[in-house]
Amino acid sequence: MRITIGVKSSEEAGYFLRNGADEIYFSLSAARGHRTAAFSSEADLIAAIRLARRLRRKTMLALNAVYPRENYPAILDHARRLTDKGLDGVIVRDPALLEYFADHDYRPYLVASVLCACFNSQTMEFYRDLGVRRFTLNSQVMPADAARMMAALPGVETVIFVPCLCLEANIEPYCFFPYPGGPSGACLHACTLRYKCGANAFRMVDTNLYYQADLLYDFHKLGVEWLKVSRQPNTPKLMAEFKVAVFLNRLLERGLGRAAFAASVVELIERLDMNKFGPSYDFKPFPGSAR
Amino acid sequence: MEKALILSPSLRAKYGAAALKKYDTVCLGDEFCIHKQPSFADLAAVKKLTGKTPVLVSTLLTEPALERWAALLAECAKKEPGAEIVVNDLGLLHFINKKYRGRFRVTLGRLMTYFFDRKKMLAPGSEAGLGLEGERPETWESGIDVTPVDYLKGFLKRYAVGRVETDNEHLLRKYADNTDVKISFHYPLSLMALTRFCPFKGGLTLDCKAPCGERLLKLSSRHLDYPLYSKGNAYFVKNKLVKHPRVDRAVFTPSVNSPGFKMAINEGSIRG
Repeated sequence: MRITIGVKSSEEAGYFLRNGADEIYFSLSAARGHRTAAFSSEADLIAAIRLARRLRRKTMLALNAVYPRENYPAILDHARRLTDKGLDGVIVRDPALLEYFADHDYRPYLVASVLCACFNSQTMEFYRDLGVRRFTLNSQVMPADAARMMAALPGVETVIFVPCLCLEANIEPYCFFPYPGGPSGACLHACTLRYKCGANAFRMVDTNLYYQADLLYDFHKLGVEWLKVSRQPNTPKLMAEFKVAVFLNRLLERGLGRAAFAASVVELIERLDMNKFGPSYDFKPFPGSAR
Repeated sequence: MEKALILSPSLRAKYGAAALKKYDTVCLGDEFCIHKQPSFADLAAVKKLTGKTPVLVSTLLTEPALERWAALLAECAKKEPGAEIVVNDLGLLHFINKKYRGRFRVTLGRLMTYFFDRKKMLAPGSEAGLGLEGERPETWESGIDVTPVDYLKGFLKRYAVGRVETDNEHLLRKYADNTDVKISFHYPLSLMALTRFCPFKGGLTLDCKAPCGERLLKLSSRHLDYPLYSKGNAYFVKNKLVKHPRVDRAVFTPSVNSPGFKMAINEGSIRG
């Protein structure tokens, strides 16, 4: 699989592109995507695109939020300027924005965000008819179902998140709890809270590392092309997650068996203890950066 | 106002004709779980009890679930043309529009209206916001997304949508103020999250006999200043039926309190 990673500065872009990323994706804070981590200036973003082109890597602009109609012209101008500088494609979710792009004859390579909720081939076809050519699969789509979806639409590319780094308990875009780093200022994910149901303890059901490892293994066997590492404000943690993604991808490419791969994932994640980097929504700059 | 009941196919035997006839409309299916989707046999059984064709309710569909819906629609197109379908999946809507345009009455379910305009929530404990009527909000809903109204109007026309559903007052007002589509309002539960990791099965399951039934779990956390509810494989907050001149159908979701619930854990889940 090829690795795509979300970045928020040209400094980060340089680090990941020189250390094995096949693609970077990003947003500008003024036209933010679904996540908060974003470039603060278009000039810095263009520097990242230029670097990626020099290194023959790809770049994607995330415009995967729902924007007010009055912002559409500025968003289109922004996307066009970046395309002129060498941007390879745009990550989208909103059919209204896609139609606006088409009406204004802007037809970049389009990637469906996980927020498109593509759980079947007919939803993929809906987006393909709007020009989408790569689909981000939700982690709650089973590999066997994904195989049938991909068979129904030959020629499209697919992306998965690294399940042991990002497997959300609830399905996007149908989770309405406030989230850390979001506009509400929440400080906790509702899916990680401890609840009481009468006298008994209750947790929202999550998955264990063996399940997550099997999922990654099966999607790799299925031929999913892209492995995605989410952008986040916490750069040291992002760097650690990137190393995990590169390492696990290497194990898969070398043909490790299913059981051995699962054991490796469990050993690696437990040994690394990603919690030591702090929450992903805490802003932590690039090590040694002046910011 | 028309009174409607959401009826899970697995529970149709529990309701007799008298219980169902208290409602003007039976909505057969489930908006949140692929394991509780209706079959034609379920439709026929409910029709026999009530004398009316039930509204068929769908959810977010996996590929196999969509294939089962395709078979159901093929049978309905022959035997129940004009039946109302509550569509909660963009792919199902696309499919109906391609294969059966004009053969069914299409309603956009609440997952679809939320797809375009997600609701926004204040952080628990927030003092920042006020409710629609200027009072402290009970559920901390602060607004919705901003999918352009002209796009939504075009979308409703393109897919021949006659009715929309919601459980959110902001969404209700958006459709009431800007479209002429019929509006259903769901109560007493407003969606907060959907998952396939079901607490009643301890994780994701490919085969299920719906042990959840109508059970409603009341959840509390010291981090949330409102109670949360778990029903089937979705989480909710309580809401109230909004009486608005444009709402012509009130859709009631029945439930049974289940205070002594102990979570199941399957081999894929980490928590319990």
